[in-house]
Amino acid sequence: MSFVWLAILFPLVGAALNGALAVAGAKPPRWVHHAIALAAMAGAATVAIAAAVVLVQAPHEARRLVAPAWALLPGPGLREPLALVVDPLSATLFLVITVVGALIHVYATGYMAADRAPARFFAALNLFVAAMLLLVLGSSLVTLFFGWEGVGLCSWLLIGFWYEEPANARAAMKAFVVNRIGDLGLLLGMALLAWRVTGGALSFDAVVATGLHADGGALTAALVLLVVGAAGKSAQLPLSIWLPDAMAGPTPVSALIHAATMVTAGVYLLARLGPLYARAPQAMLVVAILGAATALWAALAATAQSDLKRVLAYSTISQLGFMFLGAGAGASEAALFHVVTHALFKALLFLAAGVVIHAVHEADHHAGEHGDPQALARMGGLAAALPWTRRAYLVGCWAIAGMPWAAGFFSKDAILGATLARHGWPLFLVATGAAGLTSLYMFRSYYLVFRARAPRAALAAHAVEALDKKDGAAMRRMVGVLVVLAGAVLVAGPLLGLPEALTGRAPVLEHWLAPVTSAGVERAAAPHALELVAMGLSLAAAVAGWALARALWADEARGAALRETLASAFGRFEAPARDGFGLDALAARAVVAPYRRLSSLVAGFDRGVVDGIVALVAMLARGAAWLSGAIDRYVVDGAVNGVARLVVAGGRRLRRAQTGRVNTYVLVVVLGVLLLGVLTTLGAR
Amino acid sequence: MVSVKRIVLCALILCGAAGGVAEAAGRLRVEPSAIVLPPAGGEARLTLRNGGDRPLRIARIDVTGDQAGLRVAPLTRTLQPGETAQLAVRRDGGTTPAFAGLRVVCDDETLPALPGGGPDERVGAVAVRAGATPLLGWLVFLPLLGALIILLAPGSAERFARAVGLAATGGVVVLTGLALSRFDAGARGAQLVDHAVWIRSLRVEWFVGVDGLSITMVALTALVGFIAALSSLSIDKNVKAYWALFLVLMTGMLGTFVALDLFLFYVFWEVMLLPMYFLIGLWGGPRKEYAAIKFFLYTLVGSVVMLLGVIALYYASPAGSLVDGTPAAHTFDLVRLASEGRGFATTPRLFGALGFAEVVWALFFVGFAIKVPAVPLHTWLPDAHVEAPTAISVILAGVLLKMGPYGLYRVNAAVLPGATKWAAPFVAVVGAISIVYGALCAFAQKDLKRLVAYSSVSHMGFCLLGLGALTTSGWQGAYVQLFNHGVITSMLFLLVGVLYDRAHTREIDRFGGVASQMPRYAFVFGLAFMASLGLPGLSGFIGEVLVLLGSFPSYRALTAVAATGVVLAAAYHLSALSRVQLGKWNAAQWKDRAQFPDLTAREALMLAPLAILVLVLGCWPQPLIALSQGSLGEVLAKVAGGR
Repeated sequence: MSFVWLAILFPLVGAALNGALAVAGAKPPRWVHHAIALAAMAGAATVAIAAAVVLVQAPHEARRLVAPAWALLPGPGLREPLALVVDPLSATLFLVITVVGALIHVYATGYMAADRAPARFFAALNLFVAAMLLLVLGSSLVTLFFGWEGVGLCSWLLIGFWYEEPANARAAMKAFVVNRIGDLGLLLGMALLAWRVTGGALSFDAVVATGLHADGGALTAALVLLVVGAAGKSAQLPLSIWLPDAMAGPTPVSALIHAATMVTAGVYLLARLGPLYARAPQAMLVVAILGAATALWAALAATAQSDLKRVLAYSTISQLGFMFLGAGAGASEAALFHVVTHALFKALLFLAAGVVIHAVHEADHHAGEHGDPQALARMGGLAAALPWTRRAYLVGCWAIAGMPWAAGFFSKDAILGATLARHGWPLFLVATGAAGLTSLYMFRSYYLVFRARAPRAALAAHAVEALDKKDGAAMRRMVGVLVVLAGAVLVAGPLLGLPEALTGRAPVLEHWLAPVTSAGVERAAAPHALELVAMGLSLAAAVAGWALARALWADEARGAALRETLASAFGRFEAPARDGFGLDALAARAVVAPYRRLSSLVAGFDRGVVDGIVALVAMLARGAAWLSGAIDRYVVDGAVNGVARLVVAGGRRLRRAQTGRVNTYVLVVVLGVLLLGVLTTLGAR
Repeated sequence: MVSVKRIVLCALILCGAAGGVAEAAGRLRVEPSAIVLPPAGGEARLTLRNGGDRPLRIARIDVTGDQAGLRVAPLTRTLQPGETAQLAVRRDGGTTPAFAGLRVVCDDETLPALPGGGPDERVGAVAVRAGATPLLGWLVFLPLLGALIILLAPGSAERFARAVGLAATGGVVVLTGLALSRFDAGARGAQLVDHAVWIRSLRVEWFVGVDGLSITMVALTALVGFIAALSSLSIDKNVKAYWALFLVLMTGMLGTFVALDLFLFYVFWEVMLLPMYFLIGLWGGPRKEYAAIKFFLYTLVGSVVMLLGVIALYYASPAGSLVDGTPAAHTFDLVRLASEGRGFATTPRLFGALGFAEVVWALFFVGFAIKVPAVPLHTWLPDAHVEAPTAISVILAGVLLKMGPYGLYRVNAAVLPGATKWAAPFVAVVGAISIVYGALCAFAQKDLKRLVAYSSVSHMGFCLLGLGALTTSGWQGAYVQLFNHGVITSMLFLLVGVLYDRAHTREIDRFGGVASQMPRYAFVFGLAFMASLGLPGLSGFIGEVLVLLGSFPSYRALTAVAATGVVLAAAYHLSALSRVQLGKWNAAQWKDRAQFPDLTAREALMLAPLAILVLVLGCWPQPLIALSQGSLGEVLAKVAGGR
């Protein structure tokens, strides 16, 4: 047992403690739950940092910590011992999960300060971290799958956290079932790998080692099946429909699970098997096309959302599309770089949105209204009331839009550059379009939330003051986390990913990850000129998006004319875009409804036909029994009774012979003797 | 109730009478008439005596049985009346045999003739019991003893009946623990064997023993039986009769899992049937008679078909001897049928392309498939479950269904490996159909118990698919699934029972928001449902994934179809879970909230051991596999080899 297991053990114990409190129905002071959960996260983050330090000190090619444990079963496959492996790839996500996770836990202590079930909430949140760490640290596809389903469970628990609202329960179930469709692909991919490629083993080492020399067809098929799994978890088309609904969960959950960590698990899987995808160009093309299509689809949908969290949800889908595109362009490092920066800035955006929602909710409370606190239309004018939140949100927008300096600028450009180099202009242009739209919808949300003149601005300011008075510490904790994250967003980009085209050296993160993601892969470096072209074009798109957003929404009155013009041109697309271009409806019509029909059909068949046959056989048996009974009664019994009746009737007749007179008897005797005499003489002759 | 009592008593008397067939008194006396197998390098002594009034000529002493490494010094002499001779039996070592015996070939004409021997060659037999231990006998008959005690108690004696019932099932748990501690997972063949002649005229033996699979099933039966007994404490109608029948049922189940004699197996199989019929038919719900008769007829059809198979196998079996050496033209001995029965493959064709082995295989398959239950022979299950009291549902799903796959392993695969290989694709198809069909039906159910019943159909389909795959993973998966499904589904039926006790309905749509009233119950409910839908980390996953990984190399498309069961399972489990537990508390439906207290101590006590098993075996299934690895591998090798 290496110390690495502690990283999973801490949150697991935290979850167990808070879970036990929840099940026991104990109601200790709120800080007890907070202390348990935060201590667990602090422990996990410490382990992560320690592991990273150990790794950094090791030579570049030998950065690897292995923490073995028990084997599920004796033998290969599920039979390899479970182990945790910290290598540069898993260490990166290890740090992101624990550090961002810890920050979000701190935020959650403020955000959930008035909730009725803190024990259940923090138990699930800690459990999620444990499962997520198992996912990224596990040494094999099997451990990954354990973590994979574990995070799915926690996602289900937390989306449906406020389960008394049936819509939340439905959203939770939708997320789980849609993910299960992806899991089906993952399972079959694992089975195919075990059968045809690795000969039973499922550890990443074995899969990569044998896969590099395996039969191409089986490998490609297995890799495509794994993409289905990745697409489920990472909300890629067409399995993306669960993520917008998942926003039913509390906002810290959206930030941690449905933005920063869990949804990037698919990208992690692709990166982990990056060297194999490099050998299967068809599988890679599938990933790239899927990513580009999802990025564009979700970006278009995000521009039409009227709910702040749904904007961010579609934005997450779109960004995950970029990550897929990067992986599909053979630039796993770039994709992972985007995973890291996205974790920071999307967490920042969600948490800032959480503060906003909190404030609007409080304002509603003040005004005695019962509106939707997440509706963009009911926001505005919050800049004065939430100055730090505004700045943090702006940093987030800046980063996701890919404006210079901020984190997204470097990571997104790395992806776009690789796409251009590998797949050429069509996919690049689609992606650049999506990048421009990203800038548009993010700044749209920024302006709608924070622009100056809005009907409810004064009310919101009032509400924030009230909030401060009621639980100032909670509010300060939340905003404090925002500031920390915003700082990280500003630092992370240049620190980790200054591109080679600018510095002449490989980006830090790329160099760090290379032993894992590029093991055994010969990769032609993209020409720097092409990279600079890509950078310039995407920057232009981002600026254009921002400019358009500013013109349209920065000022209610001034943008009105332009909005009219746009509405007349594109207005008819707005409603479909808001509904994700009918994908949900299509799923309901083409999958859910037929499934329900099929299920009741089969159940009817079971009752009517299968059981009916049984009933028929039973009826026939009863009929046969009746028939045999009838034969018994009328034929067999009839014969017996007939004989009896014959005897009785015969007896009645014969009775007459008994007259009682002696002379008659004597006469009969004499006649008898005579008859006998005659008969004997006749017989003798 | 008198009739039930009478039936049970009659059955007992019959069993006793049949067992006590006395031996004829001839000249040859052997003391003792049975010896314990000596340890390797050890020795056992016997005394032969002429108890008659004429000289007795002893021709020789034969050793029968498999490779026990037994040796006897040659002995040829004539004993005068009253004279004795000493006989030493040495053992050099070798495998622990399932059976062994000595034959004293002599001219005592009261003894049976030696097959193929001369007119003067008669056989006196000495049983060599391989480490004979009465442990399994006690295990099997302890519940029956309890039943007798309950029936003999005067008056209604309800508390007494409950106490005896709990003591007997608890005793079974203790004895099972003892058996497990003595069981050597590394050894081959049957262990804890007890072997004696039962009905000499019919060549039936009392032959019990356990291998890895059967001891697991015995453990499952003991556990589920004890928990069902706890659950039965709430039965308050005809308490004595209930407990007596319950305990007879326990004996039947345990006996089926330990029997190594086909006839004995069949007897226990039947012993199980009747109490089940009464338990459903007398203590069940509103349509109990219908359900009970349906159950009875279905399983009766299965039994009759199986009986044909039993008789067919018997008459096709090779000649040999009973455990005490008595020569026998045929045998019911499952171990010998499995080791010497490969001639079945070459026997004449019966119906066109079908050989004898295939026809007999099909007969047994029908019998076992009804128990599994495999689609389309499953419709007794939902009705039986819905009407049965909770404890009986638990037994039914937790143990009885397991006898189907167990029988397929014990009889079909072990005795008829060639036919099993021939039919494997068919078994796999039936399994895959059951998985998908059961899941689709489950989704449409409005009654929670029916839903759980159909989920059993779906889950047991994995056992068939795994068996049909003929791969190590597939078989181990089927085996793991067998045990884990027993645990999980017992939990599910207990949980449904808990809800029914409070609400007096099981209609899913009348519930909602139960979690807000009964949070502890909701937690366990969620755990059980998640385990049932195959969440990794909980025990339901291991079996399913092993089966899928194991059957994929054998049947790609079929496995893909079966794997959709994973999605369908998520759909119906979560749908039911959220409709019952989540949402707003359905206040309009219920008079007052006090009607829904959280789990009581007794309920928690029943659920806790199962929940712990679900968690532990989900992360650490190694011990479970280790128990049966050897036994499964042995039989699988025979099947894969087709002989």
